[in-house]
Amino acid sequence: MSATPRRPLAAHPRAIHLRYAVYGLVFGFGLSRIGFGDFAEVHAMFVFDDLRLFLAFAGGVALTMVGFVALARMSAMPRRHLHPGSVLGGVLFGAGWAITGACPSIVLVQLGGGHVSALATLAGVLAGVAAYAPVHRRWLPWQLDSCSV
Amino acid sequence: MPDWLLHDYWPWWFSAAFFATMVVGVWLAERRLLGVSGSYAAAIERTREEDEAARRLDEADPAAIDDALMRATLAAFGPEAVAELEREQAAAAAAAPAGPPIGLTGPRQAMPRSAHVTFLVMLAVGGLLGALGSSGWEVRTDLGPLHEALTGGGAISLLALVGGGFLVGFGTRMAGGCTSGHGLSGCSRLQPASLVATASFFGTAVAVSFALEAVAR
Repeated sequence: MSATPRRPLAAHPRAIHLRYAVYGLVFGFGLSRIGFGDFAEVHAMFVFDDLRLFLAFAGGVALTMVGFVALARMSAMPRRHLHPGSVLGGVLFGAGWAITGACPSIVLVQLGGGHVSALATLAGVLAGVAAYAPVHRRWLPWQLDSCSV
Repeated sequence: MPDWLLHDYWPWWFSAAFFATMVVGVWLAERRLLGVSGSYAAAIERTREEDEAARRLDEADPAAIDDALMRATLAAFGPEAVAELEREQAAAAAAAPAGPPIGLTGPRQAMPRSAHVTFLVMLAVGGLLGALGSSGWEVRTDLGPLHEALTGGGAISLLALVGGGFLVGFGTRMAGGCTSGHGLSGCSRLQPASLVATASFFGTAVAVSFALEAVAR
């Protein structure tokens, strides 16, 4: 048995906190500067008054595709399995997004932006996430796979 | 530096490039796909034991893990199976000498629950910094006059936020992803579940937004 090899600093177990702190900070800043935290902007996208946010999202998908094809081995990425929850969960989420202007990251961006009322949304999101696991175990037959941050 | 970078909402093309840079950058650095609803789930659902197991795996000596895996393989399948696998791997290596290593590659580092919490908290801090630029940061008790008008105003609007938030949390867990995980990370790889989920939540959000306008009018 060899001695434990010395780790580079970047692989230290605590370093992941620092890296994800940076990702969170940058992503939150960008979402705010794009205007995704602004209910009026999001609503204008959903009723087709202003397509800027929609183009930002669709363009983001297209450019991510280009980036993945050019720089990454997509065969190593986790597959997403289609199940009834893909549709029904999407319907529930879409309704909630239209009512609150918030998706899971945006509620935090709204809160950081000074909207105290986003605490109400956040309470709902946390309750919804906590409620899902037991409901799934009891009633829903499909296999779970989650976004893997 | 252009003036709009800090003082206006970004144009769509810059925003699109930002999204792509985030998703591809996090993948290249971490071998993980960006997905925020997964962080909520990990922060709330993961047990202490799972956290401990992740930490021990992360701190373990890779050679010791290889040893243990080899012993378990020998015990389960016998030395012939291992010899056969080694021949196959040698043949594959000879066929593609310069190629990347074959096999499943997981994330670079196990991610403890607390790192998910860090990520979520820093999203809010990022939102704070972003808001400083445009109109100046200020505490507001609503989401703006349009939201008040569409959802009833005052306490009714707050109740709508709690209920809507529940739908967001429950729905993203049921769909297995949200705008980042399915929308950006999944749709860009043409994953069927992500395309279906994204069409479903965008379509529903459009329908409900028109319905809110119709009811409020």
